[in-house]
Amino acid sequence: MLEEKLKILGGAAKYDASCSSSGSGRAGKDGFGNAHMAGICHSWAADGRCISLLKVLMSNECVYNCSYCVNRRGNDVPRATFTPEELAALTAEFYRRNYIEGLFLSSAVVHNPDYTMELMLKTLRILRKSYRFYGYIHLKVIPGADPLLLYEAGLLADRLSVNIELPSEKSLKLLAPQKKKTAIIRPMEAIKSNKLQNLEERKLFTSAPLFAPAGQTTQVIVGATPESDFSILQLTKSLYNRYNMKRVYYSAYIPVGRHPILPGPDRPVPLLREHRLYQADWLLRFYRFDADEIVDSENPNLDLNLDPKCAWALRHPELFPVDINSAEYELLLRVPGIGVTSARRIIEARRHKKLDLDDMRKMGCVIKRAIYFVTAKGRFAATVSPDSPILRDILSEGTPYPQMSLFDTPSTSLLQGGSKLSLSDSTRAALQPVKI
Amino acid sequence: MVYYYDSTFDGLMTAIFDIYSAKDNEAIIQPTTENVPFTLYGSHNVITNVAKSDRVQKGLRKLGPRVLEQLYKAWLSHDDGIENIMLSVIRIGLSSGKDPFEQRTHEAVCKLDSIQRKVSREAERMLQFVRFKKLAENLYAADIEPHFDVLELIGEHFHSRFPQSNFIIRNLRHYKAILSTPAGWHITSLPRDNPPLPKDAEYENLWRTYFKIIANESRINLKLQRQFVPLKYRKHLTEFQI
Ligand code: SF4
Repeated sequence: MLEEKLKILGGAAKYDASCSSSGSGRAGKDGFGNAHMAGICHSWAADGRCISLLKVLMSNECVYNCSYCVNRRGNDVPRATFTPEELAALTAEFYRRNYIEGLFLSSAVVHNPDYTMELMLKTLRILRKSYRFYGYIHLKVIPGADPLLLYEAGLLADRLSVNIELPSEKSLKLLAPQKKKTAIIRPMEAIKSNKLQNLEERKLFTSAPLFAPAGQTTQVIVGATPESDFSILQLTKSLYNRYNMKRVYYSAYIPVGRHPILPGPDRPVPLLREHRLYQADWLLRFYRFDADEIVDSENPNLDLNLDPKCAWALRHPELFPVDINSAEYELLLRVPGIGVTSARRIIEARRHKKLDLDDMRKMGCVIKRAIYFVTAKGRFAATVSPDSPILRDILSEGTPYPQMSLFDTPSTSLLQGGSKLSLSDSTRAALQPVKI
Repeated sequence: MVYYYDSTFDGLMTAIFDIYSAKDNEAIIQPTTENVPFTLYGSHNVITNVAKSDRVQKGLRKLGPRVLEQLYKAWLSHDDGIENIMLSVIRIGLSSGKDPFEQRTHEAVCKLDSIQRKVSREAERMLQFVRFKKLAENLYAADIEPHFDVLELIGEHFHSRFPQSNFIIRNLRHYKAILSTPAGWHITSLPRDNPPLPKDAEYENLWRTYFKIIANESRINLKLQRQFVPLKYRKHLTEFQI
């Protein structure tokens, strides 16, 4: 039954964080569908996460036995495999009703990597070639599959990804002995070089087919193994730099596995840590921060009570306060509470007149935090200066996730409880792993 | 002087033209209503003129690439008095020769910008929330009830997404609909009384199944969900119907 399969294979795919449908502009008049550059979310599930793509596994009948995974061979769960025809039809029917932007297809390893990739590619061929479907397709590549299959995948899909899974080779060896680091890295490299080559070809022949126009992404599981945020962010940095990753996703480990080194089933999911990693990731991608500025080998973990930008600013009181009428864009971006939009608005508006805090408010800048780090027309409006030891408490945020345990909270905060700013829903929402 | 216009965008642009030609610094613009209220100011009935409208639009385009679009979206809100906020913003733009939307220290600019944002936001939501039902081979229909009259902002999106299909999107709040066929799309008016659409059970059920199963039970966050999918839109969302 199709409904049963959808339950099993949709349910098994939900641990994947990414669901973005952005970054591609495919279109064609002879069929249906197009890929919207900015991506579109069509609904939000009860966990508050965006539903943009039909996110399913081709199959969960895995021959591997990775300890952290629900689908591991040794686990007793219901199994199913879609036929390519079924899945292609389901995707098209959902798309035509405007439920989804396309398909996010991943899979357990059925028989072997090549066999699995063949099944997935067959689904994609039906969609693209028989149905003339131009909507978004994200394909998760099976490590170890033949490079030719990988190349074809790039021609059919908008985005490819290979999950790095665990943040270190050591953990990988321990928990996923059938997966080799090289088997994960090799397709990342191949995707990158195929894509570069494709760009060259398209300069010569505009008719050359596109290779993965929305690039590649990856996902790291956080909290299953003991790596620090420092090692995770160093990994992130090199993934962005070496493989031109569009996004690195972080997925807080949900205890579904069994292994002496894995957290037990009663360990809370480290959602706040995941949230802080996303914030740190934003600083890397949009705020021109370097990974070493956010955490270093001396402070290897993000402060769970502070936004990473606040934490950085508190470590650098010598740079503040900055004058909003003269500070350069890069410096404005570093002021806690001033985001990309606010920084741009300030730059635009100050061409027309000198700004004070009231102007900032009128422009829609939230100055609750910024007030401690800026001067306007020579005036510093806060009662607490940037180097004051109590500023840290003022800027600390209450724990937004009640399921956090002490285990996850470094005991560095001066204030336990007390009056704290709570993380606004919109900030939290903006930092969910949704489309950007 | 009060300028009465015919509630079309061209009419409004003509009004701006007339106000600038008359150098009228105290102008008020109002849509023509059946019974024009008594006023102490003089009044002027704007006669919509496409050539005048085009000249104003050309001038506004020069101020910045998105100025006209933003004004237009704000106007679609049909808020009471929106024309006069638009007039103030246009004055700020034309007198400075620069994009008025960048001059956010003016109250009118902030106000208008926030209105146009609301309209854009709802148009975006309609791209997300339209749910088609299949009525027959290659024939689809959807109902929406947006607060603002955003059909014009979404027609092109759906037409280019489903260029070979025939579909209708009924706006049951403003009694208008988008009709799209392979030949093109247009907006038409709807009667007050519209029969409900038939069920499209097979795929609606599959979609609801998927919607339920994809939520991560260790992360349930209904407040966040409500923020993204406000209750008022759920009436027409398949996945929220039981
Ligand atoms: S390969 Fe490992 S991670 Fe992937 S489905 Fe199989 S057991 Fe799970």
